Amino acid sequence: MSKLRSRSEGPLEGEITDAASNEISYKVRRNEWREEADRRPVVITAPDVATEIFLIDHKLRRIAEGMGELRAEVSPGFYKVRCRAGSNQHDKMVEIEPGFTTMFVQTEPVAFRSTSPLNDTQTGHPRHAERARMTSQSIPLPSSSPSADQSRLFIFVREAEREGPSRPWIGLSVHNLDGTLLADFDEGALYEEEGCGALHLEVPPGTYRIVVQTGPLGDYEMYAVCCSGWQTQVFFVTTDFFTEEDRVRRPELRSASVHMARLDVGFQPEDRSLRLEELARLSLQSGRDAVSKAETSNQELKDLLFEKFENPFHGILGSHILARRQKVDQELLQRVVDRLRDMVGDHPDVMSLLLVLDRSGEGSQLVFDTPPMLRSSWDLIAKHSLDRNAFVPPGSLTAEIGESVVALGPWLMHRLDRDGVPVMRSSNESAVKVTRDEVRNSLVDLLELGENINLRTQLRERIKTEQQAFTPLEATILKTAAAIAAPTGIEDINPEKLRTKSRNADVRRMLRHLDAPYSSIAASTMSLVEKLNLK
Amino acid sequence: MAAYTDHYAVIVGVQKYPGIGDLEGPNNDVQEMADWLVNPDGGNVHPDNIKKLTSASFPDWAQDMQANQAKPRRDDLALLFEDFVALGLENPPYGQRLYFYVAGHGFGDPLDMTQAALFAANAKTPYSPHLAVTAYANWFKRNGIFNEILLLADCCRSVDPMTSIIPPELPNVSNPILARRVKTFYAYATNWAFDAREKEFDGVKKGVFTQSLLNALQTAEPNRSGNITGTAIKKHIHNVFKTFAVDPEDAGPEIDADSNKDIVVLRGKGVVLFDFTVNLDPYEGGETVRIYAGPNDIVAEATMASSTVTFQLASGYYKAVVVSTARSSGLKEVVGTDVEVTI
Repeated sequence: MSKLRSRSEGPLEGEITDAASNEISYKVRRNEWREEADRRPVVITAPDVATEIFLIDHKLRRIAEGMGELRAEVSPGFYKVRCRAGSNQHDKMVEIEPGFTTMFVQTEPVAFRSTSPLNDTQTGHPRHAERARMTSQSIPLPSSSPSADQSRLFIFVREAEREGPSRPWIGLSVHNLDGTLLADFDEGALYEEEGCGALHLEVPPGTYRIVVQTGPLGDYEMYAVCCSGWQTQVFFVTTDFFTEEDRVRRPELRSASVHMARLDVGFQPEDRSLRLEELARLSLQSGRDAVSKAETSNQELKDLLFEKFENPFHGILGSHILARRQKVDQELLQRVVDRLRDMVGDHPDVMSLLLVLDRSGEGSQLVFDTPPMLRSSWDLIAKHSLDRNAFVPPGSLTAEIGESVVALGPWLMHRLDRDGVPVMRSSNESAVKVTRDEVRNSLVDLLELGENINLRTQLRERIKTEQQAFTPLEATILKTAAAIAAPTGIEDINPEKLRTKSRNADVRRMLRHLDAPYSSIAASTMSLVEKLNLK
Repeated sequence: MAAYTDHYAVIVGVQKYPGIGDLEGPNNDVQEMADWLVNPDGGNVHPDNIKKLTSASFPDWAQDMQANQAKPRRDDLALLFEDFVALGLENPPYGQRLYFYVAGHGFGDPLDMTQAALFAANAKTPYSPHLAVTAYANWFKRNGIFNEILLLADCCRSVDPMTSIIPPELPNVSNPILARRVKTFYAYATNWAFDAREKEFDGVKKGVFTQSLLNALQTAEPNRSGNITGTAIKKHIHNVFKTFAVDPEDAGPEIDADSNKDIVVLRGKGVVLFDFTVNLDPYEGGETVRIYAGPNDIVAEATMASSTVTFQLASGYYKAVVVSTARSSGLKEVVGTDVEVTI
């Protein structure tokens, strides 16, 4: 296929005889003028609003794009329609004929890979879909702390790639915020022959920790928020985690699907709006923010995410898409947040949006002592805590996990301590209290350390070879200090200029770069100062 | 035309990975890339300017060995850039163009979606020596070491939360004035957090991305000046990828080609014509077959002296029709490869 082909001056023209003695008459195409002159509307519709559509002309140029629906004016000709959902796509060739008024093209659904076993997806095994539907509608295991407000947590894990019996729930457990075990999968409905299992719990509204143990690779957790009157559904598929000697197959947190449903409604694999949720998640995970890109031109999508959502998780995803924009539509975001608070109360992923809204109001009074579910909420909390560290109280779980947050969207994930047991403090009494001046001065010490090229090289080597010596946040602080303190341009090499650089500006740059709550940075900075004997 | 003496290439293929599993394609991929680079109709790079390093560059590479015995290691890889760094910093730019091609196991950075790295041969979990390919390319750009940089990476960009890309140990300097002028074309086999694939082509294992890339370099359509630009290469790869992919529905590569500072990858090139073969079944003799490139846009016509006719067509979408009958091939895509239809 890669053998070099010869190039000619242009398309063939005139009479030519081929190898089989056929007389072929070639006509050079000169149709460019018509492309401008004779345009007609075309409407291309995908089966769901979350499918990206591209229209490609015969020159292989992408001439139009849309989401769920594409409207364009084109010349008669041959075109390719490309539909993309998640990381999958398919093409359809279309002929736009002359003389039509408006041409309508309907495309087939793109079977993307979904973690929850939705219909019309590449990984939506009917057996798993039915088990998920059935178990999510079953009577939940009763709560050990009954509450007047009812909420439910439903966790479903499955082997989506391999046939045959398996126990995909191994390594998965659910914990209360203080780390105590709430339930493990032995208590759930397990279907080894079908490679899936479910755990359905009645729980007081609040935040819960879902932990997966991957043996030598460490333990990781994500968070599930349960709200009064709602069932929070969390779906996992298994994947291989490689160790030095072997591999282990465990549930993968980063590809989890999260949905919400009214109590007793359960999981509905045929629900088209859940497909949208999955695609929004995949967009965020791959960095391809297709929903955000096209939603402005698609009223159905806009309604589903912002204006008329019945499912709060649609609104939560939609509002975070809104909040990520350069210029936030404050009025729309306020409406979405108000509606969400009516539906789910003080959900941390809703409350974090108040930080984007007018901060002279309620946002400035907030406290985030429990982690959110979404990485984008975490980013907002971390950013705003630099100005007001009371957002994240020292010693709170949010501050604790700041030392080892895993930066893989869209969920907030945390690597647990190396002993594999979820360890946390239930109060902030044991937290070290430090002043902002102490933290600032310590960061300046680290920056000065970073200025010395020999020390910088030694430190870099130490971070590499002594991975156990520093927490991930400590290592990031050191790397950032070295990067900021080191000369960044030819003009900066002048040592005189280096000395006069504003340290306050450097400290602010460091804090902005670190992407962790201020209280976590403060704790890690002080711990670093001790480890490096800077005092 | 004389070979370019101011174009340079670093091409790396790591196939032997005792610690994380061998590959089968990189040695072949590098050889094909090297062939294209020196070919006067291809990159036309002077052979002395090509630094090539593969697993096969080391003796006994195919033998069983421990991970810590495998090469190239990180230091072997870093040495490839030594001249560019030392001499380039002294007197930039070092050259007009750098082709930087890698094939092997790779990964993405959990914190930075724009970065990619190639594992060194001695990688094993959790120790992961690697070549930070994007960081190298960015450093060359930041310091204006080359005026044009083509980074071509046929490796996975899967993400392990435990493994971050460690920046290369390069002087922390930059040259904003020169950097502003540098044009870049970064093409990765896959998006951040996804896997790259290899498969058999004519019985030989090769990287799917490399095959798509080489197809684009050899057959992408030039503009009216006869130039093939970075955006034309990108467009071609996205259109042709599914014919090479393991699964035609795979989304394919991530390519960053800046249309405002588009690299002219190849100059003075003509159009590549592909065979579009039409078989008539049944064949009665004397039928006329027409090739359309649009509803009323006839590009070729043949009166059939046999049941098969082969047209030579440029990339595009076509339909073959037997005149005065309802027989048609339907719409066919001719991009980067020959097509055969029976009607």
